[in-house]
Amino acid sequence: MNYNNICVFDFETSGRDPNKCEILQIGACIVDKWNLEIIDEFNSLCKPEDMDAIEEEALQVNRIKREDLEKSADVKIVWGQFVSWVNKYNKSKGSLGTFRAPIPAGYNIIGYDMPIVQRYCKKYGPWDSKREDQKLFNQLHKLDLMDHMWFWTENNDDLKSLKLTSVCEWMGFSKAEIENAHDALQDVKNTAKILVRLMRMARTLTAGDENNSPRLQMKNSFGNYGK
Amino acid sequence: MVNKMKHLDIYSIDMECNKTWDLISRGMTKGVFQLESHLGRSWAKKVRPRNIEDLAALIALIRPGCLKAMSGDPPKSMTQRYVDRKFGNEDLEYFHPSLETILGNTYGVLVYQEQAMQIAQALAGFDLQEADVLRKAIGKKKADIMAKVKKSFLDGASKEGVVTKKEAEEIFSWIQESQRYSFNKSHAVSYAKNAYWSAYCKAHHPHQFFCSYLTGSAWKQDTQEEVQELVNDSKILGIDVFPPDFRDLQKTFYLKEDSIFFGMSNVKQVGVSAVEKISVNVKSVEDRIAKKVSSWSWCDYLIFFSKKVSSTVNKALISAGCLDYFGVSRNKMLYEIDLWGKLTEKEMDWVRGQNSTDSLFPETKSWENLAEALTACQPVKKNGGGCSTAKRSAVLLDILKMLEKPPHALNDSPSWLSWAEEKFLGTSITCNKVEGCSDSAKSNTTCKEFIDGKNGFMVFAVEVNRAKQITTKKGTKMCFLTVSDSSCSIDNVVCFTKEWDEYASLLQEGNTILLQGDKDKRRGGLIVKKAWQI
Repeated sequence: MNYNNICVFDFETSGRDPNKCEILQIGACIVDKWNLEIIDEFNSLCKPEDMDAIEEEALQVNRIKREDLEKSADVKIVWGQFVSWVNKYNKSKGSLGTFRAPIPAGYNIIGYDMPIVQRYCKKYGPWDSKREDQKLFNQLHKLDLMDHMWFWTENNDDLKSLKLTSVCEWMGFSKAEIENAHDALQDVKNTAKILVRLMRMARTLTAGDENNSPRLQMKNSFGNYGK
Repeated sequence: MVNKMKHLDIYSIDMECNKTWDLISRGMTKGVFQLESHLGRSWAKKVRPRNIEDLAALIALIRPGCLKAMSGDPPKSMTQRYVDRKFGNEDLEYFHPSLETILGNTYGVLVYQEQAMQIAQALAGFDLQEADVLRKAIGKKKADIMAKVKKSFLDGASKEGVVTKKEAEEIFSWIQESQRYSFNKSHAVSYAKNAYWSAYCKAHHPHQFFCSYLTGSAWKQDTQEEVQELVNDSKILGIDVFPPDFRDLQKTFYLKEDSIFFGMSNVKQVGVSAVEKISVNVKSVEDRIAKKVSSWSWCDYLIFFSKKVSSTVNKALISAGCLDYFGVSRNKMLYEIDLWGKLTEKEMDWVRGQNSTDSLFPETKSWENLAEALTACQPVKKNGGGCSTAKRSAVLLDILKMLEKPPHALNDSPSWLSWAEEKFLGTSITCNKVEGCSDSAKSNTTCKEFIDGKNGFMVFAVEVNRAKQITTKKGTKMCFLTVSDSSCSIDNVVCFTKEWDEYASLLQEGNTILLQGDKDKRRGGLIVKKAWQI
């Protein structure tokens, strides 16, 4: 998968149900697969189709004001721009396909944000009717950092929970980074930081040590640890 | 410049031109007949030909048979033997003194079929007809004819008495062996002349040379690779190559003010018919707004022209840099063209000033920018705007909000520019991905400086363009690479086993790295010593 960039994204929404809620804010950033640097960011509020359906609790969590939403562009237009922006980082050589499209990444995206992507892609495009799937991101891979953190921290009792803010605290992120939680772009930046740290750790572990032998020998070794 | 080429009489050029021989000897033979492959370029540097005889031998010697025909102790290819003998690294041997006059020009290596014929004449007394039968047997690799000729050769040799029977048998087995590789000399000399002519054009008329070869790249098997190599080669020779310029409306590669420009049909997703359509429509828009295309602003293009071609063509032209002359970032143009596309045809007409469809452009309007045009159009018609309903008016208001506060930066980052140009032009021209990396300043050498002969402690900030891993005879892995920065690329980078084990994860296509390397004194390439991620 040498061709793909990674798109870390997060939606702030009008409610908790990913099958019904509307997008109020899109935050996203592109992480260069190679040097693991953020090369572009996207951040926009969007006015949902039904302003009355926004749950007050959701607004309190997101710290988004109704008047700010009123002043924002319609979600259809913002979604269109989001799609164009993601497509700029699709590495397809000819017409846009999903094989070289950015890999979607985020915190709890498999259970929450990806179903929203599916709904919006079906409604506003791009939709792959043959596979009945979104056509914006890579269709093969999804990086849900919550799952990855579960994997890497299962023996750590000092991690309070797998909530994004808890993980950020546990990883030693600054106060300012943590206090802005639930702002889509800040959450995205924090998630990207976790992703980059995990990828750097994996690269260090699998790269050669001073004797040129990998610190963590993956090949032919699965199933051998602890036995 | 073009006139200079018109007067070039290829049959009367100087065949002892130092500039041309230097170009060949430096291996700068991309585009030179018969010598343009990696193989041709690397052997040209080793053989360093200075005359047609040398060049013909080089062309004959880099054929697969010659490179594979190993002989002697230690075993060497005929090609390597030729080079070693030419530069005094191996003693000249003719097997028998009588062969010296025949094989002298090729340092004792039997390169040509004609040499085998001459040997048969000198040692076995063959007449021309018999010698020709021998040539045919060699050329067509016919075992039955070869057996008959062998008998005549040995009989003739014993009659002539120049060599003993044992020596004659050995010489004939040598001729038989040459079946695998020897080449027709007249053929090799014709090729050499053609190669010299093309090298002469490259040395003396490089602009025209590259322009023609780039045009011809469309017919190559791998157009992208060909374009990449030619653009890189032209950079080494100090020739600037630029993306297409929309104002010039040229279909294919062209020369302007000592620089080469891509044509618009060289942009992927823009075909020749699209360029023809563009030319026709540019004329009509020029008439309508009474402005030559060279004086258009981005807003003129967007409002009056963009809808004349498909959105795919517009995006390809912008991404490739055809519209850079407007002085607006490519990302801003892509962003605005997307938003402009959300207007209805009627709203677009209103903005253009064509309020009445039955009159010919009565009120063509000129706008400073898109926001100004949309602000005027946004109210509904009864309020003096261009929107037919309140719903449409709301859509335009949303577009204005997006224009006022874009959700992402609209500047062009080097990594995006280089990727976009690679996608649409086949190679990055205006910048390289490494320019966007903060650590690139830690380098002390550019690729061009290396090619121009810099030596010593060298650190490059480069992008890895090609990485070809091979397994050595010992079963270990090593890699051949091509790396580039904005100056040009180096295509003979070697990473030996020890370094490959350590840095394989970094030396991957698409990655940007700091690379410390040493010059390979024998082959002139670059040997990887260390690599760091940037």
